[in-house]
Amino acid sequence: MEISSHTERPTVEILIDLIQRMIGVIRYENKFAYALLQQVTANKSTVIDLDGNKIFLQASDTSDYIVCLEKSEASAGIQFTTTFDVLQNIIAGTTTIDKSIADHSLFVQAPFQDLLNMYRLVVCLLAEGPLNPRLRSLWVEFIEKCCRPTAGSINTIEHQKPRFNSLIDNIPQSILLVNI
Amino acid sequence: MNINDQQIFLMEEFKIPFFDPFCPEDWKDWYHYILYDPATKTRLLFNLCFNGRPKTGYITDTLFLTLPKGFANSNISDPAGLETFGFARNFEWHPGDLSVNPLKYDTTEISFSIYDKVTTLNVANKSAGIAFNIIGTPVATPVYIPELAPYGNGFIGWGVLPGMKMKGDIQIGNKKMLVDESWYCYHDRNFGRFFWGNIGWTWFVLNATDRNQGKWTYVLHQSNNNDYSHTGSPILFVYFQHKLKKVFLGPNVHIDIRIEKTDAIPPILPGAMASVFSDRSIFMPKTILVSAADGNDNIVLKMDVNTSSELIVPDSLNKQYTFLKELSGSANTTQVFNKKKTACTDGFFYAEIVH
Repeated sequence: MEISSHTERPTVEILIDLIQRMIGVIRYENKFAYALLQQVTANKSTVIDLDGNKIFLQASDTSDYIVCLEKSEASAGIQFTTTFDVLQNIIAGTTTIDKSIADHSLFVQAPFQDLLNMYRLVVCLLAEGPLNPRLRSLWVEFIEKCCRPTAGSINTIEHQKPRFNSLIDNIPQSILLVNI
Repeated sequence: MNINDQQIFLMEEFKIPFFDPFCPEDWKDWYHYILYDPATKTRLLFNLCFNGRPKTGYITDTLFLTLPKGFANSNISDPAGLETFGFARNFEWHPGDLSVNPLKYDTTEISFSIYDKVTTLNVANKSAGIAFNIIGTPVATPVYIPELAPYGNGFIGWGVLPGMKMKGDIQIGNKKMLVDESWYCYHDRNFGRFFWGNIGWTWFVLNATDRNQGKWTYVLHQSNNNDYSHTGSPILFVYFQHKLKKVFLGPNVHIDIRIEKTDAIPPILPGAMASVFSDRSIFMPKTILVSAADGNDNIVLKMDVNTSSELIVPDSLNKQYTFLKELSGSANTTQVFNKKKTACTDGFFYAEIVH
């Protein structure tokens, strides 16, 4: 069995469809995750950039919760930016969300409490994803329609963790040992 | 058909009664292979696990491939260092993908069959850039334990073939390495009805050669619950030249797992779990010491961990997890049988500490 594959680049409409279907799956199959989604996103809006495809998302209030998605032409105010390769690497285990943020391959900007809430939601979806056949199916569809074949270096799993010591690692040992 | 052939047939027989439309969802059945090259220290672990039944169930494959550092991505590698590649995937279990008698599982990226003792396994993960193809037959005495341990309201069974003659190849990126008969191959099976999150064990396989070219293989299993408040009786199989030589049981076996002094976050698969548990720092095993004696014979095994990672398996029904520490490294052994002492250095082991 040999390695070979080819995919085409997706459109914004494909991504919007996948996100809407994901919300639909959560709504009917995981009440906890759906309640968290409503709590975290109610009365909020944002623009995200997935591999150059900008999408505007707006959620209504919790009493009649609806999420609207449409193509965006915004060049400012984008609160989440990453690529399909990064998302694929997170699911593949060659990087994590933490490391992607630390190495700037995933950009996220929002008030701190909103960031914490969104992180809780994402972790909940990641925990649910492998076990839910409809979420797995959506992920396979995303891979087939969006992701490119592996190019360049193959990544080890040892490098999935972020390193936070870059500042102190660049200070000479002789300086660190100075007794103040 | 001789007794060994009968045992191999019973062991490899697919256990989940998936033709029954009411087959319980907590059934699990997996095939587990380890390949090791003594020359380069390359090691590959592959696991193919069937969960539940077709349509509602799913299939998981897991691979860890440890290579000399730098081999995969450059022309210069550091044999003193190792790096690990891997993946863990979930697939839908479509009716028709699996047939039994003979066993055959075929999908886009996995082809697996066992027919007349010949195992053929072809696995590819295009996005990870990893593939391997192997074919081989058993050479070691099989051991088959239909109900190894009870778990909750269920059970787990075990079949062990700690020696197979395999040939084939492993591809990573644009590099390919050949698998031949100098490689050591271990195979076992687990099957049963249980929920992940409510099961645990300590297991290892150790393969080493003494200075007279005698090949020794040790396989241990001890069951435990999540917090180790209950442990089962340890079983230690001793093989010499692929034949079962001795079994040490119960109080004759002592297991001492020494842990690292500092905690760390190990590499975790599958990737989703790596992000879910990215803030969980734990103390990983550093050395495993095992001794066994029964008044006639005795053995001492010392295993030093040089690669460690963790596999976290969620349970779909009860929202709980099983944590499998996957460890490998070098091993030394000393064994005294019939008052004759031999020693092995530069052995290899693969272990799982599960809770």
